[in-house]
Amino acid sequence: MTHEESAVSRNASRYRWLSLVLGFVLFPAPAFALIITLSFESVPGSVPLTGAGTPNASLNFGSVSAFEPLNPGVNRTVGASSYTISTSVGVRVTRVVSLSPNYTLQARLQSAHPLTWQLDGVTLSTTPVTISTSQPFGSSVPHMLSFVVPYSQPAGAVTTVLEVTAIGN
Amino acid sequence: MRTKDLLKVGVVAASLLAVPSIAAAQLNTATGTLTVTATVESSIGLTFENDAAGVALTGAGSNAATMALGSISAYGTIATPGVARSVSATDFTVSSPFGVRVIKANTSSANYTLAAALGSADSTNSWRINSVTLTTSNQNLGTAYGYGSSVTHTMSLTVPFTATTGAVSKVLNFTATAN
Repeated sequence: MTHEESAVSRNASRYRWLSLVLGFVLFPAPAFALIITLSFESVPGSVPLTGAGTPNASLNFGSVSAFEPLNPGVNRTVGASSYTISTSVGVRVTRVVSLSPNYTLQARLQSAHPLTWQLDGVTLSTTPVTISTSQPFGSSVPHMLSFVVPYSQPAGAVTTVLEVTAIGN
Repeated sequence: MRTKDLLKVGVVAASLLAVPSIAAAQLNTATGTLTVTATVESSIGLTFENDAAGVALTGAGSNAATMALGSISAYGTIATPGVARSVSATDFTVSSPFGVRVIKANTSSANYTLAAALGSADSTNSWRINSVTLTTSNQNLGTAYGYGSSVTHTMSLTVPFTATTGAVSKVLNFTATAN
């Protein structure tokens, strides 16, 4: 090996180390990499979802009222000036690559709504709010979705879109 | 030249490592959307309420209450508070006031009509609400009752002297209809 070849070899070795260090700094994975997926699931005894098993599902309560019979799976509590309609919705979060033991669930309304919407008793707005922490991966976790209808609310159709986000811990 | 090439290789390698790290960070969350629909329907609810001057109802505040008059007779003592009695030449009548409250929800209805009927025919005794004698068909008790407050009505049972002694039980069905 010539003197010039020896110098090149030393520089190459230095840059390899620099590359490795830079790589570990910028890419701490696989130790912390997390790839997770979310799907909505029907809960037995509750309103069945259209699109269950996917991240974009629909839930139709059907006709709701303060005093008339409700569809199967729909619960109601009647108060002095309003009533609350509820059912359970399952959320399943699966980790594809992760060492993280659990996840935090957040939810928000995609647009403001005149009725009060709650998930597990937490009132939703257009700002994400934490519903629960330390949720387990893999299993469908039921969450109670409810909305409050004042007696003064005019009859008619109600539609809203909930955005649910799982964040790996 | 080889040194520069190696430097380029290092930078490219670092870049390749950095890009998936950003992608991985984005995969740290998962989002789904749930579209929720319902149709709010108008409805009204009816409850029976205690009247201060009448028999205390079992199930007051609900839509299925019981008014127990206790032992009744033409001339004996009537021990149940709230039971009034009047005696005629051929029969006696016991009565008690009670309340009916109707609540409206998700409707612009201003008032309601109230009707009542016997759950089954009674060939011996006569049953009235206010002054309306009941049959097994709905009898109109009023057409413009207001929502929200308890409206007092009086239930009357007339028993002929010819009736045999024993228990009397009857279901009275009330129907409120939004106007």
